[in-house]
Amino acid sequence: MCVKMKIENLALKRKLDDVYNFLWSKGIERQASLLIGLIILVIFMSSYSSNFLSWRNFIHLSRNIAISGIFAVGMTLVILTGEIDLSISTTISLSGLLLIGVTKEYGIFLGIVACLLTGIIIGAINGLLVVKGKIPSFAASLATMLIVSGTAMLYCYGSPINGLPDGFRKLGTGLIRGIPVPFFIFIAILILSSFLFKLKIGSYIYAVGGNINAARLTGINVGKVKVFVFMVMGFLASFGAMILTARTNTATVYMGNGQELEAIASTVVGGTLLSGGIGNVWGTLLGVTIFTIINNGLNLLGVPSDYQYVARGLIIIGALLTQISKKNTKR
Amino acid sequence: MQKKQNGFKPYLEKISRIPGLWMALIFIVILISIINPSFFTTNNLLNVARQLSIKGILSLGMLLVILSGEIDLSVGAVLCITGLFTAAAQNAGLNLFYSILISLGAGALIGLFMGVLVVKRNLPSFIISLAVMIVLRGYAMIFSKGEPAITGLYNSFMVVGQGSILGIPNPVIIFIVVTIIFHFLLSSTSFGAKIYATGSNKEAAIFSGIKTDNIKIWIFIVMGITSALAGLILTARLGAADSKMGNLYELDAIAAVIIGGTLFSGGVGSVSKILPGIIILGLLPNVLNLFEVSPYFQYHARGLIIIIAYLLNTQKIHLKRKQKLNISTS
Repeated sequence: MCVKMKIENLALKRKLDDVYNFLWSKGIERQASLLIGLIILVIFMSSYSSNFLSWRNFIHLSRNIAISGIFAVGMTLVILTGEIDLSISTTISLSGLLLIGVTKEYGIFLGIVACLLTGIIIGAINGLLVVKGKIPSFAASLATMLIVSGTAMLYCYGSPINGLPDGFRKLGTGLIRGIPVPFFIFIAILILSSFLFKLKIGSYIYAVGGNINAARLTGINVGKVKVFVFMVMGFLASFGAMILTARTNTATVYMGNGQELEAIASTVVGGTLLSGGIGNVWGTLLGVTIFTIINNGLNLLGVPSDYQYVARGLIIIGALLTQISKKNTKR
Repeated sequence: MQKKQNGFKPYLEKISRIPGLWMALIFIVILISIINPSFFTTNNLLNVARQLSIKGILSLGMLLVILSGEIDLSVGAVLCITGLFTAAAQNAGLNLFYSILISLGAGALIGLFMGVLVVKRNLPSFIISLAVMIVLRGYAMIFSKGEPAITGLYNSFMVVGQGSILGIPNPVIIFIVVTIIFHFLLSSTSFGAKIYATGSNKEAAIFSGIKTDNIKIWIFIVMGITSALAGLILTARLGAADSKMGNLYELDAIAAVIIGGTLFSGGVGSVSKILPGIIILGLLPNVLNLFEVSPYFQYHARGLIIIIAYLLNTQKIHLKRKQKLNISTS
């Protein structure tokens, strides 16, 4: 009887090994375990709070996932090249403020242009500081964050502004067949980004992140790749800010607070290595979902915001601890 | 014999960072004395000096961290939480010595935690310190339970922040002592030499037998204790502890270290170089006030300072390298 159990165990083990190898060959073994974790999380949350599985909550969740996800996808690109961008929080605020401010005086079209241009320009500044100025990205983006923060405060004198045309607000509040508009936008961005990785620039991003010297020797213009990635991040930051502002109809200096950390944490939890070169946006999607559900769950359970703050920090530390150092990866 | 060089290059090469920063400081002082001579009343100067000292102590600790190639964004939060601890301890009736010890110990433990995470898991220090900062800030809010401030400190404790010996404010004295200690540490001990080695070339340091992991952990512990010390002084000075103390102090600390010529990659910089930086940053709010610049520009100013200072530093290193090459090829 013991022998029979042993043989069954071996067969099971072999099957599990096959599954794991299959996942590993597709590069998604970490993401698969994340998915399992996510399912467990959902089951856990729904057993604790009856509100969790309601349709209303799902709409709320998907909207949040979409907005946070847009920022996180941009951050994933930046981290994949081995850099980081701490300035998106203030970029979001400034873009939102400009959106409303410019729309009020010059109409919605110019408002959108101003908003998106802000993000692109800030992204370009970050990229140039890192590539031409040779400033480490965290310092450069920290400095950019401070400058943009000051600019945002100067623009609105510290007080919130609001007032967007109702039609435009549908971007943030609207529903298509019951699912929030931002969600569709986010899916579109995800699909676009996976296209990105099929192009040359996609493999360049991985190359620069994986081994920058090797990439340079291969003839890749490392500087251009990095500037591109920062500009995409900036664009996505202002794009997401646009949706966020449309949703709340208000823009404040503090709008974007904490978004950069959630973006980084989602990316990290999603299996992207901070040192770059390894990871993908689908993992980030899972990471964003997990974080949003945790935030949502903490709210539903009535946890005070102070404790939520602490919990967020602890989760980030926990997520970081799961990072494998590049030396240990099999690839 | 050096080759003949064109135009302004010889002048550029003569610009050395240390006198430059002191000159900038003197320039600022002259500017202030022209526009607002009332700045130089004893009372005002002593106040400025007191505030400077607190951030200066943070900068000294930060210097050690950046020299080793890491960074610590949590210093403001550590300052806050240790201040809260000591205030709470004193309210609970704990004697002065132990209430101070608790704070310093907490700072050391936090530093140890961060150091171990950075070293053993190879995680970027800025993210770890950022996460720790979040946790500590949140915990500070929980700890102070929304009360505006914890008062009820011992008089003997408040003397540390508000008193003075022979006319020199106590915080300034502490700052001077810490400066001397750190200067000695960096210039004349093997620990200091190991810090520089770790920062400039970690692999080479490891091959030379330096335990870079231990050095980094110790540096984070020292940074934690330093932040706690700053927290004690600030709490003593304010006469109370609240959950918003030390907000953004880490930026000033980093800025002071950077404009003092320290590179983020580590290995370059010293105490004497960051001293004028500390003073300049201490005077910055006053300078901006003088020119009736909006207080919102505080953020711009610090951001721009960090960028410009860093760019100038790397340019200077570039120039020095070119100069060395010139000499060797002629």
